[in-house]
Amino acid sequence: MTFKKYIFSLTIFAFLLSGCVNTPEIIVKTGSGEQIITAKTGKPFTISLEAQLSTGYSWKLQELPASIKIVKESVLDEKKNVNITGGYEIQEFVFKPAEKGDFTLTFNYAQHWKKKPEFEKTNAIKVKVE
Amino acid sequence: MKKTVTTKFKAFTGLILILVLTLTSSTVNAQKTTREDILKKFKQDKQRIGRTDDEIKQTMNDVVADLKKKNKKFTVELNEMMKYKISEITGTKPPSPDELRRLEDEKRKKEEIARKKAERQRQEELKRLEEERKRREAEINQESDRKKQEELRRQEEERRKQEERKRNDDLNRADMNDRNIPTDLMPSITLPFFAWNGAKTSTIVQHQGVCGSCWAFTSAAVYETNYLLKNGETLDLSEQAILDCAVDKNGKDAGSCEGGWYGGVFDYMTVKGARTEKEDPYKGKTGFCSSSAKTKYSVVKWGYIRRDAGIPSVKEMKEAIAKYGAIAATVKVTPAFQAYKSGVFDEFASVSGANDVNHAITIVGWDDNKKAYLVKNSWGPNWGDKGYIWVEYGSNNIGYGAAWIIVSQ
Repeated sequence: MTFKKYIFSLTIFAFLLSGCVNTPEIIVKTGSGEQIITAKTGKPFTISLEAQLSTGYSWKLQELPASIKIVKESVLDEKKNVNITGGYEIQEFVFKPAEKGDFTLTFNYAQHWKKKPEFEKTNAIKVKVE
Repeated sequence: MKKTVTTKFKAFTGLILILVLTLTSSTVNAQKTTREDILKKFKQDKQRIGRTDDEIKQTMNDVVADLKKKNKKFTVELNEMMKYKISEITGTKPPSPDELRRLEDEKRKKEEIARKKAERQRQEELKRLEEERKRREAEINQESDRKKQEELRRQEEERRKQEERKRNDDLNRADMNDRNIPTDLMPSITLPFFAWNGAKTSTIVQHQGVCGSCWAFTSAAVYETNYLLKNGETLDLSEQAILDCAVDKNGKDAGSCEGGWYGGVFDYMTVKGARTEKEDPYKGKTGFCSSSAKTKYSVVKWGYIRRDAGIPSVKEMKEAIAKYGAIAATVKVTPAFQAYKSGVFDEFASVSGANDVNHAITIVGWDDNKKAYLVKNSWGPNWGDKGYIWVEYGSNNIGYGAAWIIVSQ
């Protein structure tokens, strides 16, 4: 529950930041719909997505635009006080845009190790690079 | 000896013949026969004593024929010959009374000797028979004693064996309350490779789907494997029932589709046991507990390999696998882990601490050549190496929270 509150607060915080000061970070929760973020050329920005890696599912970027590079992809380390497995985690993707323009980053949530993975969820994030 | 007997026989036959002839002629010529005639006749006949049996027979036949021919009757009556002693007729001399006594004494002595000899022989024979009887009796008694002893020994042995069996059973029962694998079937931890993943030592790899119920699947998989190892019976337990019903010893929910911990499940199974897949099939989402009735598939005991639930050493892990069978444990899953196909997974992902894990798995074996544990996952048999993965010792916090369980018999 604390973790969810933490995620929710982070989301609100990120939303406010994205609207006011063009923060490079946005956290997208499951089912939160289409997101729009604004980024600056040459400045990295982060997209964090909630995932349950222990199910075999994970987020994967469908296609990377030529003018955007992926800098880092990781799973957020989380300090836990209790033993728990199977819970939600944050998958972090750090990008660095090279050119101005409007782009869409599409993430698919699936068991990508399957030959024909079925997407459990899809998140399309519009990025406006200034 | 034979010759003497034959001679005696001939003499005796001759004597009879003489008597017969004498009598015949006495009858025929009783009126005119004189002593001289008889003696003369005797002398003549005496000369003929040496005749053969056939001759004697022939003579007798002739006499009979002669009698018939003359139509004479054979009668015996007192005649002149009666006046004489046989010895006078035959010329033999009867023994004197002293001689007779001596002979009688000799005969008696001989008879006495013979009797004594016979008696002695009889006594000896009796003694021999008695000894034989005693010997046989002794033998029989000995045999009987031997058989009795043997029977007693056998009974004692059987009783001892039964007691030993009972003691062993009790010990085994007691011992099996502390382990799943019988001592004699326990693999050596010095083996470079060992795994409970054979056809008769493992159950199928399940698929948890999109629900974060790895903890429930691990609980069920560990129980199923160890139940099979201990009781030889394949089970398919209900992960849904675990998901919906399991609470730990403090009454706190063991987990949901948003995560959980198998420790709470083992607490629950110690009290309530587990239901079967048939009774409560998997739906892949958290629901209401349909039944919390006690079942026979219970956990006798469970515990962490390390008291603090920390990552055990390879030796500790091997000992636990050898003694308890499959071990519940955790690992940190990353996209690289998800992408595993074969070989040894050695990502050694960055972790914040020993408890930085996110996935419950089942450790079923080791391979020192690979320096890895064999891990059974719950993503179906199409993932990884037929649902399994080799994780290098120490990689991705493999083994954190490693726990053993002892299943019911």
